[in-house]
Amino acid sequence: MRKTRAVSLLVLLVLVFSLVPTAMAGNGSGPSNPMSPACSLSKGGKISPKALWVYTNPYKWEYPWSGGRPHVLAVWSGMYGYGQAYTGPGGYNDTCSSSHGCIDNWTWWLRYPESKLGVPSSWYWVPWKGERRKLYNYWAWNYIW
Amino acid sequence: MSRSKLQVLAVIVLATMLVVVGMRLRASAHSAALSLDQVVLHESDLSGQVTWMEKGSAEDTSAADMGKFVGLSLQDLVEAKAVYFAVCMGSGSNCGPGAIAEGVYRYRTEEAAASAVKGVDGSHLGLSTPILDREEFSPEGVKGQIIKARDPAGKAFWFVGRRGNMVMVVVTVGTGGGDQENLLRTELPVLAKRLMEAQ
Repeated sequence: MRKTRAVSLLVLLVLVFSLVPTAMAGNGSGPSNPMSPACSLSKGGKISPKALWVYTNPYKWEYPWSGGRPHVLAVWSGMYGYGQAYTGPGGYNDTCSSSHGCIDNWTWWLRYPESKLGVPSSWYWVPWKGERRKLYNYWAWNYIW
Repeated sequence: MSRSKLQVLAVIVLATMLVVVGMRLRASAHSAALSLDQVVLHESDLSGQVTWMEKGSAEDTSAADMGKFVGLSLQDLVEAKAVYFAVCMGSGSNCGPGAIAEGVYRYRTEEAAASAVKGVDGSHLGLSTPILDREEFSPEGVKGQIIKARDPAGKAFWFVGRRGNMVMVVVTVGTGGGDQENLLRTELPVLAKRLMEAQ
């Protein structure tokens, strides 16, 4: 009985040690689970975070001219932006009065090397709704190296 | 009384009646011609001043919200109307993105309107946005002030003015380029003139 337990434990340990380094090294195209960090083993054998998915605010606004009109873009420093949200007054419902529908229908203009979300101009610029122009009211998942 | 005297008197009475009726007709024609819908900013007012424009949704264009934001009292208000356009100020692709909006407020009396604008001293506006400057400005006899304030995207230029029982609030918001203040100062005389006609 004791022998069986010892063998089972040994098999389990072998399995764990054979699988963990593979998962930590990643496959070079981003983690399979977007919520978990991708890590790599450094030369010294220490595990160091290489890239991870983070839920953050954009860091700047851009106002590019395209198609005969100006646009408003919220820019995240990470890649592959998704899961955008607005946490200003009225939250998600407030975004639904925009000409492009609610925030989950807004268009990502770019996802690499940065993430740029188009914010409908006539919704964004309402003079007495300054909260719509504050970066910290916008959130999205993006992949940071 | 002689016949000629009677004739003169009749002519005077007739002339007076004609003048009174004429004035009444003129007054009613004026009030019928200029509803608040006609007084507020139109797309045609902006031609030549902006490169691009898009009208804001009715849901987002509330005269009450605009008035409250700037500190205007809405007590004894008879009617109000606001419009708002997202625009690109100036010419060509170097124009400045932003918006222009106007709210027009008709109060029950002149005193009510005067009392309503007393609250607009920048302190209320300053609760949500830092005030940079204030200046007395009275285009076309509409006595008011321009308040320059910071906005999360740049700057905002507010004008609040009164004439009789009417109050107008005009604002440009944008990234803070020179065209933004120019747009406000160019539009104010036009809008102020229309406000006077709506009296």
